[in-house]
Amino acid sequence: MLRSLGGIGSLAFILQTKLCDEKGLLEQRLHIGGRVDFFSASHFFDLNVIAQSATVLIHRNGKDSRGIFGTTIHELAHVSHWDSGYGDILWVVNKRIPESWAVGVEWQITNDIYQGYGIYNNKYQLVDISEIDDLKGYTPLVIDLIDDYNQGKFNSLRPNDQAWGYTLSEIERALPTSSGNWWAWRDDLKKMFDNPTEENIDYLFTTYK
Amino acid sequence: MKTKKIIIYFLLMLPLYSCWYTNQPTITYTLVNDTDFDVSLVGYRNRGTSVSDSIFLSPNSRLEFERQMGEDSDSRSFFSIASVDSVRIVFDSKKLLVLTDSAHALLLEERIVKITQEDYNNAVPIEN
Repeated sequence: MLRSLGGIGSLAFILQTKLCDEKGLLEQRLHIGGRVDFFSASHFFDLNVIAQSATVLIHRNGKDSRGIFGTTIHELAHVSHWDSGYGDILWVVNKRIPESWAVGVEWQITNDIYQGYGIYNNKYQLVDISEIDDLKGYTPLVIDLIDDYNQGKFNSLRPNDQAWGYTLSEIERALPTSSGNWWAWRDDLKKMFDNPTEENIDYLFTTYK
Repeated sequence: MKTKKIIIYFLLMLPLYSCWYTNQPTITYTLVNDTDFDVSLVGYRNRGTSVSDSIFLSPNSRLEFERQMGEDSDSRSFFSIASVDSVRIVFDSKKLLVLTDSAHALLLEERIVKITQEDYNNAVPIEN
């Protein structure tokens, strides 16, 4: 992910739109805007470059510094994913992949950086199976692939998460980019990496599909 | 050419902005006062020394707190600050319960938490 922090989305390359301070294909800068007011959800949108506006826009929306950091990481996960070939049309068709990925990156990195402040985004572990559609694609799939917490252990209404031990790097290497789909993500994870819990990831991908 | 690009940009942006704005998931936390007493709660976080706004619950009532998930995920649960690690509960301004044990549902940040008669019984009288 870090390699692409200086990049912008692929569609902007296609449209050949560059900001005035961007020096070239390999040295383009990422513009992050910040707003205090509540106007919209924070977002990454590579077409913003057409209007010479920031492609990542972070709204404070009452968040503390950890929350602002977490939201920024979430959007940078999208930047990285788009830089790898994912795009706006794919997002419209299926935002479950990019949003599940971004939720996981946000959770992992923010908890790593803000250790000792309590668990960040614990709420994703409090969702019942019957509510997964209400998540609108923002599933805890990546969180569940990494952590060893089974939210279904003491509450049978919640997913029985018996997978753990995958790293963010492994999950990113299997992440669908310009091609692939939800099930290809699962299959590539199994093919590419040895994990003692890999037989249990079928359940997670099926539950969150 | 530039005008054309800007028009295309706004045509693309309007539905997406409205989608982002209205299509974010939320989660609801519910706090229930299962006692016959007025209850007030204040949450504290040791790291960064933060104190929450007070929450007031009349006898046998409930309050719901809707928190954002998704792009602008809100890490708070019941209190106005995130990651509360201790709570003071006052019953009728007469008894005080201090929670510092993470085994209590309030500190575990379960989605539905009840303040019960047992909590009242565990509280100690406030000396004037």
